[in-house]
Amino acid sequence: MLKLNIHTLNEEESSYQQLFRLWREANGDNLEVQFDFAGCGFLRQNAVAFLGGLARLIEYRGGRATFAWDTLDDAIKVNLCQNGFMSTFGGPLGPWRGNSIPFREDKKQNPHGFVEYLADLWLGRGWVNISPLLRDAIAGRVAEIYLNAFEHSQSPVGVLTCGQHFPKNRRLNLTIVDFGVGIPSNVRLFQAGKIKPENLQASKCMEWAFQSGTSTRPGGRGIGLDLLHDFMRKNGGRLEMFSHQGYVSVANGEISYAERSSFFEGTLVNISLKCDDSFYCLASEIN
Amino acid sequence: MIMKVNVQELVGDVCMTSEDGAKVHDAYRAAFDRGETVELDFVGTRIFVSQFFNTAVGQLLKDYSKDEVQRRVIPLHLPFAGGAPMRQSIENAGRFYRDPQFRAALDKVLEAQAAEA
Repeated sequence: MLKLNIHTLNEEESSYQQLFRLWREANGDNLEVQFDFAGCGFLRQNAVAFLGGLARLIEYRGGRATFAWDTLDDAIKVNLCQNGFMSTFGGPLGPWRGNSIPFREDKKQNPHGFVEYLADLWLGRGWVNISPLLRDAIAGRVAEIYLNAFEHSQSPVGVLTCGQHFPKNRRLNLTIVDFGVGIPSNVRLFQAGKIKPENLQASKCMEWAFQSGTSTRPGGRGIGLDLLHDFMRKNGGRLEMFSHQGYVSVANGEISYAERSSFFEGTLVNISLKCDDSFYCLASEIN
Repeated sequence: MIMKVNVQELVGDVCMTSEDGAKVHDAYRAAFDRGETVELDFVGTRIFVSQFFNTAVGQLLKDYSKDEVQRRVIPLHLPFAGGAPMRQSIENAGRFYRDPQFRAALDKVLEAQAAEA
């Protein structure tokens, strides 16, 4: 049996390195894997979504994934119960409403269900003061990320999502992850007639994909996050996207692209909104 | 002649899927082909994704110019959230159907994905 030791996982670079290392270690067929949490002091929503997807990937490849629930810190255990992760993977307690945005796995596309999840369970609980119109506009944009994953990624386990409200830090976070072929893969294929794939860095592929209007599908839409970018700038929020070694950060009004050292074949998007006392609405609502 | 289509009556308040876009398209296509102007009334709709507009409107670009589509498909009561996805969908569709090199590159991606499926 392969025992995967899960250490504290937050949203620092080192945590993403740990997550992607776990993916590499479990990246085989017919593996018997146990996730062990001794020594884990914290698990954020990005880790919850990712570990859920990794467990499903292990199962998809003919293996078995189990969780050593008794190695969990009590506070983490409560959180994994609350957000439904524990009950999804055979643990003892079912979910309830609290500061979590439920763990969710969509093996098949469920657009209406997902958009209601975003509008009601993530944005619609009053943690960010946001007008209904802006809430719906943001939900639509984030739903594009979800739909892009189903359309492009070929993820065998679909899309995994989880969120968390952090009242002390005044942040509201959401992570969406797929275990598919990754954004750079399709972009390199699309550009293959003009640029050799080996000459197209993952970060450049991400940059291309982020340009509004680009897509590798007919009538496609690119990632097109103009409205999200604008809201991030005003709110002080942050959006990060990881795919292959490519990394995109939308923060402080800037979009930046980087080449990372560690590799993850799929795509992970992490959104963090600031829960301040401002009220946010569309400019058209004021005019 | 103007044909009016109430989008919410056809697909509900969330305009997301290609299938829903196709319902809207199918409701007005014959009238559009006859030369009529089409008013798409979005009253009561809330959430929009480009994929919906690709089939609701974007596929017209296969047979008609962007100018004609924009002249004869009139969105009414379209919330702000729908404006950008609709514009982007028309732009992208126009590029796809008018640019053979762009289309060839896309076909290559689709072939590769089909081979792996």
